Amino acid sequence: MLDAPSSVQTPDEILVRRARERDAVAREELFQRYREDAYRVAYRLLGHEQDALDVVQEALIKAFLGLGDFDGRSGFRYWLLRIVGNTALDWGRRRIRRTILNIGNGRSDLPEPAFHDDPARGLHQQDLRRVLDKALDHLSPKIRTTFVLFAELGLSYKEIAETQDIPIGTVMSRINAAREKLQQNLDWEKLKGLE
Amino acid sequence: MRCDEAMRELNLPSDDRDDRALAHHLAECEACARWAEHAAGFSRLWDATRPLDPPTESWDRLWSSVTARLDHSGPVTTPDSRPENPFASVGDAALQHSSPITRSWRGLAAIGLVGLAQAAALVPAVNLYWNTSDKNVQPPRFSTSPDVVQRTAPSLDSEIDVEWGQVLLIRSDGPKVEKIDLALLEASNGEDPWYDLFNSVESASTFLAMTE
Repeated sequence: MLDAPSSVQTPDEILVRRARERDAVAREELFQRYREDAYRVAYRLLGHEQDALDVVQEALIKAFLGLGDFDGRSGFRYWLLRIVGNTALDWGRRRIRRTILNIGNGRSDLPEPAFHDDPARGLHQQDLRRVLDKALDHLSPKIRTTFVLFAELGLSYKEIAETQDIPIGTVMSRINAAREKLQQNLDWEKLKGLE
Repeated sequence: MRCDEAMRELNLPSDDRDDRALAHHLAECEACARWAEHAAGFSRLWDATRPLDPPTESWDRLWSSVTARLDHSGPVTTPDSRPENPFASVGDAALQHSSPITRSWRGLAAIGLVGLAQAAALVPAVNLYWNTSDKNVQPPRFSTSPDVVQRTAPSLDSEIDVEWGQVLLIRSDGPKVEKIDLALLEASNGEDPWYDLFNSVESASTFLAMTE
């Protein structure tokens, strides 16, 4: 059976040029294209849905207001992901400070489940996420970002190098280091029976 | 296939692997087989914890906030008009009016004030010490040589000029007080300029003050 012909997508470069001229439609198209990538990266870096959405919002504002800084050498997607990564790391630092301040008040900024229609599924995923987050916390922010781009978005070494503006060799060594550390620090006992 | 090659293969996306050679090695090497088993377990864990896509209302709300902010902002910045901000990640220059950033600058200013107050408290003490040194008062026991005192004491006799709007880290690094203009710090190799800042603070023997 033949596939239905897909409509031709406007290239990012053209959308970026229009977005620079404050074209709302172009901006929204770029948002629609990359919002999920941005959200997934932010979520994996912060482990919290609402924080991830806040980071995506802040990153999008930075990206659209700062389009004059975008030289177009890497694609818009990679540029946006770099902003998301940096914003998430800043956010994470602010959250640590906030958490420290809140300890005395008895409040907590720990991750909460969200978006789950099925509470049982949410709970199970929350347990698994806690195990994974604990292991991810052993990674430095840079290594964690590299690994998230690799594991979550499936970016190639070259694409990650573009996104983070680092040599491919550094990407490879960071991913190796991340894997080793994660495997060492995962609580395999708790993960027994995970299908 | 050697163990290091097997590890490298296991780190590759599954489509790019040499599965036959890898399977052969794993059948013979217990350590690598265990590693492979853990790697597979990790992949399952990663998949099981993938985030669900936020509901449409969340995206709509988010986009409304973004467009509202963009509509109230000035023209898109260009490299020529971009203000220098040492803490700016990529695109941060555009967020001059953002509330979180403003809050963090306020925080910095508060830190700077506290730091300056501490530095101000140090100045009379150091001056007093140096004045008494001039009157041939015995130096501390651990230091019999005046050179040593000279090397370890920050030279606070010179004034530090701070221009309005400058963001400075003032630190002592061995014999001299160093003034680092954070506005001139460049993000190197795509690294976050905050790392540069924290490295500067950590590497200082005495952190005196930061001011805006």
